Amino acid sequence: MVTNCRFRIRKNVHYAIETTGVSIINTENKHGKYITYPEAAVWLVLAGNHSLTRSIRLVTFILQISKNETIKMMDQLMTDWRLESFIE
Amino acid sequence: MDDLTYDRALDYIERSGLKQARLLGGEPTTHPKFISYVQKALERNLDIMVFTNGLMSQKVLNFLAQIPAGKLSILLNTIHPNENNPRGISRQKQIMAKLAPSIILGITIYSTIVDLEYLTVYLNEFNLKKEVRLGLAHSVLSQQNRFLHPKNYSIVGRKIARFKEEVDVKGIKVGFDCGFVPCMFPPDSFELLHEELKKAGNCCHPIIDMLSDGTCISCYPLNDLKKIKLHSQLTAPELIEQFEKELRLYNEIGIYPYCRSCPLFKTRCNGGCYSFRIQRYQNQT
Repeated sequence: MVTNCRFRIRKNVHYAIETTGVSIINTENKHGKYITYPEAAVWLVLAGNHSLTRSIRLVTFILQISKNETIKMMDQLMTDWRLESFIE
Repeated sequence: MDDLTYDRALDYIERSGLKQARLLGGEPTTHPKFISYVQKALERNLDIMVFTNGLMSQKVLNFLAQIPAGKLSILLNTIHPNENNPRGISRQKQIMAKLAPSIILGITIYSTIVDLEYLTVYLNEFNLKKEVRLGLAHSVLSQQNRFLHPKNYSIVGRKIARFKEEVDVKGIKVGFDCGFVPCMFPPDSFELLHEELKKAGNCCHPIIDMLSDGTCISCYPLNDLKKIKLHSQLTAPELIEQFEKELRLYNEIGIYPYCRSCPLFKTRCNGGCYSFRIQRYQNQT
């Protein structure tokens, strides 16, 4: 199970979808980051406000990896994004 | 803008080492104190540039006509013949006739239905400076204005390239305002537009507009992004630096999702108008 299951983009964080990834910015602390795929795919699925179960299913399908790998990846990415103040 | 704010604006121009007071609006010539404001700037030995649609009173027209051409530039934003405004066009022609030595013709393009040939007709008819300024109508952040969407840039780009080809042989210069991007033009016109494109792709930067209440903004489309209140020490380079700092966050993307993959990005093109770039950011949560 994903331990950091809550994905809520912070109020001052915005993102733009690019052909090669996603640009994320925090207008409060002026921090920005460009994430490429496959991480960008995880961001976009989670930003889609699906249920956690559906998000895991979608990422598993899109990235063609196992469910366990998906959970591990999502867990790690959400921890990183939380530390970077992109999500709550 | 009241007298005190205007005086402070002139102080700022002088303090910043600028030589020209640029009056724009809305329509600046309709301001009740327009004449006295121009006089004040002239008394400080500043040159004047007026951005106008030309729909000014006869009194204002007569006043502007007596200013030496070297001190006055009128950027006349022409009404396109497609707009079905014969009275406005007729008035603009009177302005062109009377202020010919000071006039630079311009058009702000907000639609793909735009042909530019009428500009050369005006240049010849009124013996104007052989120069035209082309501007793209950019969206304010709230999108509550009439603007040309970037998805239509290539249609307009093709028309501009054709126009440039026609006027080049007549010795007419074409100048671009901000927000033009190289990819809007057909690749076979890059050589023809070489000089214009050298500046165009990287020309989105703070130009500093002062609002009627004395606050400064980066430019009109970014009106809602950040405002800085003018104080008695502030100069143009300091303001530009502050706005650039604010805009830096948006440097990683362009107006199109594929800008980052473009070989011209960050070399010959900074990605186009910041307003469109900012509008590409979303927060759906």
